[in-house]
Formats: sequence, structure tokens, C-alpha cells
Amino acid sequence: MADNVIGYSNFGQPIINHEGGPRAINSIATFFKKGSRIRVQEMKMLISSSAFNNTDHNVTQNIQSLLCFSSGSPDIVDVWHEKTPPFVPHFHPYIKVLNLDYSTAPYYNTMPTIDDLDYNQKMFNRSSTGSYVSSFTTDFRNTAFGLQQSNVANESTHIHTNSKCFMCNEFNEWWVETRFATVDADQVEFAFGMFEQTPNGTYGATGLHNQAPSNGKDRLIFAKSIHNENAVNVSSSNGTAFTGVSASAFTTPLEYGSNNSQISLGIHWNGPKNEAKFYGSIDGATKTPTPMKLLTTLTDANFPTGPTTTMRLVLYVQGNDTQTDNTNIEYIRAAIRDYGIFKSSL
Amino acid sequence: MPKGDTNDILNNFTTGKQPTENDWKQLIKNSLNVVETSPQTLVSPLRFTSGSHGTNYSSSHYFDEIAPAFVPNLHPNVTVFCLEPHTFLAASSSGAIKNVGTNGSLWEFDTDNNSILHGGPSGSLDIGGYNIVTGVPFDISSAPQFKPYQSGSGAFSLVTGPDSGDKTSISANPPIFQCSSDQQWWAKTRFDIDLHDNMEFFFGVMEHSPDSATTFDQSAADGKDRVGFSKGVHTNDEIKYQVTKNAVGSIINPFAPAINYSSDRLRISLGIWWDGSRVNFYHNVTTSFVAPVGQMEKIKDYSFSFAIPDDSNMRLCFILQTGTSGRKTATIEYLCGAVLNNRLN
Repeated sequence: MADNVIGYSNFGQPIINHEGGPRAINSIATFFKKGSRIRVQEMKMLISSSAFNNTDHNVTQNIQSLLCFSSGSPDIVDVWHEKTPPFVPHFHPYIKVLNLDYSTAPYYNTMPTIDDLDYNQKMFNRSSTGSYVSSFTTDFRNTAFGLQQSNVANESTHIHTNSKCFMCNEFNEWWVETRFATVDADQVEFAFGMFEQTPNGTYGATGLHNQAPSNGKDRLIFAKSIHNENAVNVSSSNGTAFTGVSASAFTTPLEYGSNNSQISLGIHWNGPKNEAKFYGSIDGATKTPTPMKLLTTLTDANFPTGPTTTMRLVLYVQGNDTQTDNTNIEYIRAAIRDYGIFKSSL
Repeated sequence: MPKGDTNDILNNFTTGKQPTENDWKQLIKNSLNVVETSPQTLVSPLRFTSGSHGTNYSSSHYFDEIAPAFVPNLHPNVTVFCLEPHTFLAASSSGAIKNVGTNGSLWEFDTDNNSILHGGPSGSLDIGGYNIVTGVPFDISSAPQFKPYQSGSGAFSLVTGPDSGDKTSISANPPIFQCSSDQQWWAKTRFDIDLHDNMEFFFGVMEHSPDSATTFDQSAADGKDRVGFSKGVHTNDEIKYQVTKNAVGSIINPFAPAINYSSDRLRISLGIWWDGSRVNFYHNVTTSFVAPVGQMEKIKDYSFSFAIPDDSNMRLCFILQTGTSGRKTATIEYLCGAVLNNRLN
């Protein structure tokens, strides 16, 4: 090990001991314990580790980790966004963002259906059943777009990322979130999360989200699995191995039982910790949405194993009846931390 | 706001000094506070490096150490152009990518020779009056640049015409890139090309219009200033750099060691930083068409003042040319530029 290399990161990168160079928060905190003698070197570390509103254009204000923005208010705890990067494309060069929301949805009028998959390079596709509609409802603070169910019972409609770019392995970290509302809560089933299966198959009344675990059907999802029950459960499967957590076991039960209620869902896959955290909240129609809470954590569970299993992000809606009800969506977002630069092969 | 930059603050805490109350105030008030409730101000652009918790960067060796976030309006004095799948959707769906020279849109595309700018199902988002040929492999789930561990965030394609020598381009229309001492600018792109030894390309900034009537491999001349990378011979893999002012400067400067585009569909990342006195070139290319991308590293800084185009206004552009018959495709993940205008100071 070279003299100035004091260790290696989880990804094999050398950690250089620059004299007085930047250090992480916890390291710096140890320099300022009661009774510590603060030397020039410690002060250099403190100062060089801080971002300053300085006036020197030649000083680099580099940030090596994520920069997260939470609620914007000192009175509101927003645990989800405290750990989530901004869903802004090209904000961070190694975080890829896929964002379907009020600012990009208007341009998705030509969104291809799943049948066009072979031809397109878009981030998102939609199902060939049902309709994609622009429904700029005032129910959402930031407006919304809509998915309209077909008039065929048990037929699904969905939006999903085109690329199967999501994996659960130690080199990946990703965040996904959505907020939507359905017109008829007790006639609908839905799921949000990662599916290995292409979502345009024929799944009948069982639905994509209720398929028996087996090879080729891995998933990591939230699901309201029964149309006339309110529980939104969590499940993970890898081949035939399955882990499920019912809504009643969450720290705060997640029950979707009122028409047009706004449901917010978030999943954070933390590869180095082999952990998936599930966040959620439900608010009444037209109410200001509240921050998502941590509902449950799966650790060392039966996760889909990448890179063998690659998955799409899917928001899936299945109607029980023959009504052409709408699901109004405020956003579907994903952010992927690109660890590829640290690993020559996976 | 307390005055003083990082060096000023460091000087308050050097050996033998007894920091005063004001020194400590300056340190604390100049720092970002994670629980502050009032707005916090950053004077300089904020940069993000690897995202890794393990590496302390302290140089300008990697492009992301010196480049700002390519987010329009994030910093009030940094003008950003960023054409990537999100913005491509907006621009293409609203017809806001017009023929080069139209001077009516932010981004322009050279429609000559039945070229194609493509980003969706056949016909829906093609621009240029020519529908994509059935069977052209635009499926991102199988395109090598979007293997699962890669971005997966989409792309758009620039396709040349079918005849040998056909050329096309995508460019940011406003010519605001200058190599002046009171300006910094950055440019970056990542793309791959389907047939490496049948095509030529240019990426950088250019004074003249990137129309098919012009060529990026013509000699330095008045009105033809440029700074960029070029692969100027379709049968030669080597990528060279061009820095020209009027008739001064070469368009075939080799990098040392040489950099090459040596196989089909290699994802190549190219970056340029004008720092006010030098042109810095950054580069990374995958080792195989299935390998992950790496960070762009500096491969050259150029400071020959007579060749630096300090008196011209240039456009950000990417030009693709086929060297043989048959269409050639560049699949582009992003094409970005940013200009920091220091002249307010």
C-alpha cells in the first residue's frame, strides 16, 4: 500500500490521506471531542471538508456523496427525502434519473405502447390496453396525468420503464417513488415496484402482481393484491423463494380504502447493506400530501438476484369491473446510483 | 454574508495563530449548515464527483471534479444546454428541433441527405422527413450501451444519409462559447457508433454553422474557428483534437498517448473544459461494448495562445459522417454544454 493510501473503499478505490485533506463527518467529529487538542491539521480537515459560500472561483466546491433536500421546513420530518437524491437529470453525474411527471408527461402523448418495445429508445412505455390520458386534475398539487382502464374486467393498464435497468445486488443503489390516486378504490388492484416479467402478458384475474413465485417472475413490490381489500403489502421473490410483509405488520399500516385518496410509495434498494426499505403514506383527495414514513425494511431477504435478474420499474393497475376508471398519477420517478465506474465487471 | 474564501479561512487557523471570535464566526457563517432554516447561498457552482465515499479528489484530473451540474437554471450565472432523453422528448414532440440554420430553436439538426434524428417509434419522433428503416436495432433493451448495469435512461439517435460522405449534425444554436479569459465553459457527450471504421465524427464547439456544406476537417481559416475532438478518417481509429483560430492551429493534433475508437458500439465519453486560459480535453472509452463506462480523465491541456479562438463565438455541436455507403448511427446518451459567465465580476 502506498504511503498516502490509508485504505480502500468498498468499490476498490484508494482512500488518499491528503495532508489536512477532506474527511467524512464522523472522522472530523472525533477531532473535537472534549479534551482534544485541536491542531492546524484538524482545522484544515474541517475547513477543506466543508462547502463554503466563498467568493473564490478557483476553489472547487466538490461534493462526493449525495446532496439531499428534505421537506423544506424545519417542522416537518421527511425521512424519505433525507436519503433520496433530487430526481433531477444530470444534477449528479453518476446518478441516472428517469422522471415521468407533470413536466415531462405532456410530451408522452406519443408514448409507445409495450407493443412498440422493439423500436423505441424512450424511458417509459405504457400498456397496449387501456388509455393514456392527460388529466390535469387539481387533486394534485403538481397536476397529474392519467391511465384509463379498459372496459374489460380484470384487464390491466400500466406504465413501466422501457429498460430492465434495475437490479438488486451489492453494487447497486436505487430509489423509486410514485404518487397516484384511483377513482374506485374497492374495484382496483395495483402494484408498484420492480418486475422481472414483461408487464403486457395475459395474467387474467390473478394479475401480474399475484403470480406464484417462480423463475422469471422475480419482483420487489408494493401491491394491493385484492380489489375489495384495502391492505397494500410488500413482497420480494427470487425464483420460488418468497418474502412477504403484510400491511398490518408495518410500523404504520398502509390501507387504501377511499376513492381518490392519494397514495405515495417509495422503495430504496441499498445494495451494500443488502437491504430494501419501503416508504409510504396515504392522504385524502385534495389534501396536501404528507411525507412518506418508513413502513418496513427487508434485510437479507429473498431478493431478486442481479445481475441474473434484471427488472423494470412498473406501476400496474388492474380493474375488477368494466368501468373505464382513471388512475391519476402525479409522478413516477427513479434514480440509480451508477457504481459501474468502480467495478470493471459485474 | 461574511467575506472570505476557503484559503482566507484556512489562514485564520495556521500554526501559531490564535483564532479570534470573528475567525470562528467566519468559519461557521461561511459553511453550509444542514439544519439551517433560512436560504443558504453558494457563490460558486457546486460540483459533484464520483458519489463514492472512498476517494478524496484534489485535482482537476477527472472531468467531474471541474464541471458543474448540467442542470438549466440551477446556478443563475451558468447557462446550460443539455439534450438528453428527457429534454429530447420535449424538443422533438413540440417540433422544437429545427433544421440547422433556421435560427428558431435551441437545438438544430442538419436534415440534409435524408438524415434522421430519432427517439421513438418509427415515424412518431423521427425528424427529417425520413422514417426509420424497419429493422434498425433501436431497441434499448438489447443495445449494448444499455445493458442493465448501465444507465437505462434512454437515448436518441443521429443517423446519416445513405451515401458515402453524407454528413449530419446536432447542435445548440446560440453561439455563446468563447475562449476568452473572462469565461469558462464545459462540454460533454457520451455516445456510441454502430460501425467504427466506416464513420467520422466531431464533437466540440465551432464558429461556422455545422451544416452539411461545411466540413469539420477543413483547414483552419477565418470564420472556421473550432475546439474539439475529431475522428477525421473513417478507416483510421485515431481521435485527434482541433484548436484553431483563423489560419492558426492544427486540425490533426494527436493525443499522446493516442486515443482510438477501435470497435463497433464502444461507449465513448468526451469532455472539454475551457478554464479561461487553457483547453482541457477529457476522455473515456469502454474497453468492450459490454463493459461499464468509466470516469473521464484529462488527456491534454492546450495553451498555445495564438491558436486559441478568443475572438469568435462558437456553437456546441456533434457531427457524424459516413465514410462509405450505408447509414451510420450514433446513439447519444447526452450532449451537454455549460457556460460560466464571469463578466459580471
